[in-house]
Amino acid sequence: MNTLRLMRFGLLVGTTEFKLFWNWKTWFGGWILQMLTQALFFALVARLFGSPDHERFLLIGNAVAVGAVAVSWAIPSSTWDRGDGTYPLLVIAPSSLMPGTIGRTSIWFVAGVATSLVTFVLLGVMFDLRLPWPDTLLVIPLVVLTSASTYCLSLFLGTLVTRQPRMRNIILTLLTIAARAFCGVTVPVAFWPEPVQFVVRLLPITHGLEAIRLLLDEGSVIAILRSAGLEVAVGAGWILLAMLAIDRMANAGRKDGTIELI
Amino acid sequence: MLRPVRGSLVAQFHMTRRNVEDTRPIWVMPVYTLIFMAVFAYVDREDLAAYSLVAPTLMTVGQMGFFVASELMSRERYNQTLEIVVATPTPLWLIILTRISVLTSMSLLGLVISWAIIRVVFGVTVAVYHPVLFAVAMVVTALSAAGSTLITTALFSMARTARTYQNSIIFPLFLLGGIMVPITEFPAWIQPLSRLIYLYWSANLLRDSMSPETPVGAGASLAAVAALGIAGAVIGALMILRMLDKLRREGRLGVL
Repeated sequence: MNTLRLMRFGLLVGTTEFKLFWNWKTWFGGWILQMLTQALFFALVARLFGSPDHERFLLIGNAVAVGAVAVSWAIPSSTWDRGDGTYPLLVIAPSSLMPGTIGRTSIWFVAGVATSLVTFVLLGVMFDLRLPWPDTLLVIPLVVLTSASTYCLSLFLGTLVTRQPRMRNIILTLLTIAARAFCGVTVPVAFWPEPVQFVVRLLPITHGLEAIRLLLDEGSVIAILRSAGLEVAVGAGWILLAMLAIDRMANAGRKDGTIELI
Repeated sequence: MLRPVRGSLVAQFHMTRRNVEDTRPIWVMPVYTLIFMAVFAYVDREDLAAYSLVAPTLMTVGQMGFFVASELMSRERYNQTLEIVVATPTPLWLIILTRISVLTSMSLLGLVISWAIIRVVFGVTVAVYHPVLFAVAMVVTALSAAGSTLITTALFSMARTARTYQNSIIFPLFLLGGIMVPITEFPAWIQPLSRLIYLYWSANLLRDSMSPETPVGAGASLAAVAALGIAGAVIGALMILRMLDKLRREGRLGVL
């Protein structure tokens, strides 16, 4: 109960913060414009070699990838308490940092789901994507799942970055580029060498996007469920690591006196 | 005139070289090469490697200008140092333009990183068939980027609402500039807009320098990049002068 209360207050802070960045008009006219043009920029690469099939591959992949870009904002937002000077207060509170941090950063998970779905619909209309109906509606829960597991990894990276807040934006950008390059957004995962594939299968997006592609290409239900299940497992692994790391990071900061305002 | 320019150059270089956040585009944007090159390698079209070199290079220049250099004036106001800079007898626009040039020139390092990624990861060597054109195009691009950036520097230090859209404008510019996909893929009505963006001319010049065919109209393209840079610098300088007048009148020079 106490944990839920802390999460609710964290979410309140996160939502208020989000509203400082965006309102409905600037979110659609600014953020979605940015994400849509980003997706177009990467998807239109297929026009250079005239492959409609690969263009479809890139459009679907990038609709999911832009959601991950939004979710990854949970990484820098995990460090904002350092900048606000409120981090030491959270550290001395008689509770784990986890509920408050999840509450504050989870608004980016919601933003990620909305970003992916809006971009998916806009790209679908603009490029007249052939989509099976009504099965396509199942993209919604799969996008929620993929965004959730991306959020879990972002939360873990956010806890690490709290020790080095200056690295927050570099890690955010590198994660989104890595997701686009390796997780099946741009080319199938099998394109990369075996060791890279091994690592990529431990990352979010890989299996969730695979499930979405299988769904839209009318693959077998078992294969879709298998990929979705793997995405759940990956997300669970990362949130577990985040839970193990978050208070340890704070304690390490207490030990060397680096939890102060930056 | 030369001393303050040299001083601004040296000061900006030292301020930037140890600042992780300011050099972020230089280390990060070239990694986009991986994405483009992976697609080309997957479809066995490594002959398109020049595209995966040119686009991330210009993305680096654009990001350094738009996100790092555009912050210079705001940062001076935030640090309450703008009054001191304004009080010197050198025009503010000249100091800022010089400092921006350092940042856009540093972004050319992105080219080296992109080239290395293509060579090391994919084993492909991008040949530059017209090295003089390539070198001149790179230098003119960096200077033109500085000129255009003077406008956004003035804008972002003045209008808070403009900053909301700061992140949103860059990818539409990359798309419109045709730095990856030629603008002929876009609707006809939108294509004339591309000619107003230096990235369009720079992308064509750089790609031409990597093509074995003799470049056509390179002189005109170089002139277009330079003209857009000069126009940007003049407009930006005028904006800064007007902004200074307004801030002085309102006594808000050092208040953000």
